[in-house]
Amino acid sequence: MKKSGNLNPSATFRKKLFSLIFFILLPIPYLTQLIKGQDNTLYLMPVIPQANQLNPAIINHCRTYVELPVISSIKLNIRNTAFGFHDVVHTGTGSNSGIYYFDWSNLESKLQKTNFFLVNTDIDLLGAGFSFKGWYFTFGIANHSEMRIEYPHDIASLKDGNWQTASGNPIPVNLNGLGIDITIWNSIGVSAAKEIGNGLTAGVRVKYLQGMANIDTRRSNLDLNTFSNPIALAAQAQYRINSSFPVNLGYAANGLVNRVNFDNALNNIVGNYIFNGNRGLAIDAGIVYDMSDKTQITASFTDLGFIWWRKNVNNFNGSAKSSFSGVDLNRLLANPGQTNLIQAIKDSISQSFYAQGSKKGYVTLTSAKIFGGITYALTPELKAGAMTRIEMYDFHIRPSLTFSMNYIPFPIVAATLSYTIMNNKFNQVGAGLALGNRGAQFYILTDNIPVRFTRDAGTSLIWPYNARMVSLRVGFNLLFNCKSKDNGQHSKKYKSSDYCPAYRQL
Amino acid sequence: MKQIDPQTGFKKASEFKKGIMRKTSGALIILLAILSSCVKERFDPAKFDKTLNLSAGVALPIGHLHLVYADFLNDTTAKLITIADTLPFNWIKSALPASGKIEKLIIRLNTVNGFPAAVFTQIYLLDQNKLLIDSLFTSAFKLEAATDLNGDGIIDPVTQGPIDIELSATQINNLYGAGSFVVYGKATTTSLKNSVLPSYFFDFNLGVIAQLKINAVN
Repeated sequence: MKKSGNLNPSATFRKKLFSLIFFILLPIPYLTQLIKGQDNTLYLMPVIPQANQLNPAIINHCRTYVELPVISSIKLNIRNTAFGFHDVVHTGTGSNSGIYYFDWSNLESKLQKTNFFLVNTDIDLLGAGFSFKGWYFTFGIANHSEMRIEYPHDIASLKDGNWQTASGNPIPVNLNGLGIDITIWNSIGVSAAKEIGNGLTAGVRVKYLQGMANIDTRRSNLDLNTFSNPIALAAQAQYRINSSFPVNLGYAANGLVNRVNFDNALNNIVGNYIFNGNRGLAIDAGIVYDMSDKTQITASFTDLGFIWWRKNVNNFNGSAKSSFSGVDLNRLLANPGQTNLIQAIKDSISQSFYAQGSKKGYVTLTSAKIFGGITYALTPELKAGAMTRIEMYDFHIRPSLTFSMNYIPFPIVAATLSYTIMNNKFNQVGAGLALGNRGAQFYILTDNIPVRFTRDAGTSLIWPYNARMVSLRVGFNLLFNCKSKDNGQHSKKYKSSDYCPAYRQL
Repeated sequence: MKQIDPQTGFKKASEFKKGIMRKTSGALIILLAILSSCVKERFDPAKFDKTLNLSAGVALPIGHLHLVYADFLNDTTAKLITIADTLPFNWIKSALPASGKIEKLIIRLNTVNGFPAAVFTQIYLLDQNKLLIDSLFTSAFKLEAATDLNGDGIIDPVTQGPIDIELSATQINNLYGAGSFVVYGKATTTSLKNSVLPSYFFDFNLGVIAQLKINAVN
C-alpha cells in the first residue's frame, strides 16, 4: 500500500532542507557586528554531548558517547569587550576613501570603566558518558587556558596627556585595575545525573583541578596627579602580583626585582607543570525540569571552585608614593650629570618605592558561571529558547541573554540560531550545527559569526571587520545507542524500558 | 543507481540518508562560500593617515629654586642687591616631541617673595656653552615686596602666580637649544637692621605646559 502524497518523504525532505538552508542563511545580512557571549549556543543544543559540561543535568539522547583525544572538542574564544577593529579604524570618504584614520574619540566612547581582552582555550583530552541503571555518568579530562588583560577607561585618555589646555586644568590619570591574569590548568571531572522527580533531573559534577601555571594580578593601582599651581606631579603606585611559574629572579641592592630569567621555564616540564602540587577543586551542578511536554526549564552553575598554587610561587608586593616638582638642586649636586627629566622622575619614584618578595602559596578562584534557560517546542522539530549566562570573576559580573531557535529537521541534523544581548549590544548572532547521530557526530558552534573581514594587504592575515569576539567550538564525538525521537532532551524519555529501536524515526 | 524499497515504492532509508547528507553538505559548502566572500576590505597599513589630527596637553615641572639672602642683615642703608641662580634645563628634547610638533608652549612661573622689597626679575635662557640666547620676559617682571600684613613685626611672603609666559616659535626653538635657565633679580633694599629674620628668601617654581600635535605613525 502506498502512502498518501503528503507523506512523500522526498517532498518532506525538500521542504525541510529548504527550511534548514533558510534557517542557516537567514541571519547573514544582520551579522555585521558581533560581540561576546560564550557557550550560550551550546547550552541550548543538548544533542551535543558537551552541553553536559554547562549543565550536568543535560543528558544526551545517546546512551553512550566517547570523546576522542583533542578532536572531540576544541574551543577557542578571543574577545575584546570594548571595541572592534572598525570601531577605531575608519576609512575616509571621497578623495580620502583609501586612507585609514584612527578614531580616538570613538575608542574613548566605546571603553567602559573596566575592559577586558580575553583569550580562552578548552581542549577535551578524553571523555565519555553513559547511562547505567537510571543514572547518567560522564567522565572528562580537559586542558584549559585563560588569559585576561584588564584595562581601565583612562588608558584611552592618555592620548590627551595630563593637561587640558583649553580649560587650563590638569587631567588626573588613573590606571587602577590595569593588569593581566593567565591561568593554564587541567581538569578531571566526573558527573552524575538522575531523574529525581516527575520531570525533574538533577546533575552534579566534581572536578579535580591541576594548575599548570599562573600569573595573577591581585592588585594594581596607579595614579598620576598633576598639580597646576605650581606645576608638580604626584604618583602613587601599588601592586600585588602572584605567579606560579618557574623563573629565576634577580634583586637589586634596594630589594627591587631587576631581572626575571626564564631560562629554566622549559626544564622539568612534568615536575613543574604536571605533578607540581597545584591542586584545586570545582563543582558544577544543574537541573532540567520538564514543565510540560513542550516546556523545559534548565538551570546550572559551573566552575565554582579554586586552585591552590604552591609550586614555583613568587609574590610581588610593591608600593610607591612620590611627588616631583622638577629637577631640584640637591639631586643635581649629588648627581651633576643628571639633567634628564624622565630619568629624574623615575629616580624620584624609585627612591620612594619599596617592594617585598615572598614565596607564599596563594589561591585563585575559577571563573564561575550561572546558566538559566527555558525552551518551548513550537513543533516537534522546532524549539524556541531563551537562556542567560552570568559570568563572575574578581567581583566583576558579565551577564548575557540569548534567544535561540533550535531546528532538528532530521535526526542527523541539528541547527541552532542564537541571538545574544550583552553590554547594550543587540546584534550578536551565533549559530550551531551538529551533523550525525548514531556512530559519529561532527559539530561546530559559534556564539558570534563575523561575516565581514579585513585582510591585511601585507601579511594577508584576516581579522574580523568589527567583531569583538571570535569564538569557535568544533569537535567530533562517537555516539552509540542513540534515540532520535526526543532529540536528546531528557533522560526519562529513553529509560531502558521505553527504549525500542523499532520506534526509531528516520 | 537509486535503490527503491519494493514495499513502499520510495527510496530506501540508506539512500534517503545519503541524499540528506549530500544535500546538507551542499548547503554547507554554499554557506562557507558566502562566508569566505565576506572580506569587507583590504587593510593596507601604508595607507594609514600619517597626519593624525590629535592633540595632547602636557604639563611638566621644570624645577624649583629657593634663594636665600642673608648678607645684608647689618646693612643700615639702602642697597641695590642682585640675586641670581641657575636651573639646568636640557631635558626638553627627551620629554617632549620635536619643536615642530608643539602648537603652543607656556612657561608657568610661581613665585614667593619673602624679601621686603620689590624684586625685578628676568629669566634668561643659556645654551649648552652658557651663552645667553633668549629671555622669557620682554621687560623685567616685578615681584611685589613682602610686607608685614598682620602687624606682628614679621614680614609675610607674597605669593604670585601663576604667571604664564607663552613663547613664540623662535623662543620655542631657543628653548629646545637651551642648557639652563638663569633667574636674575634686582632689588633696592631699605634698612633691615631691625628685622627679626636672619635671612630672606625667594622661591621660583617653573613649569612647562605644552600643547602637542601628535603623529601616531611617525
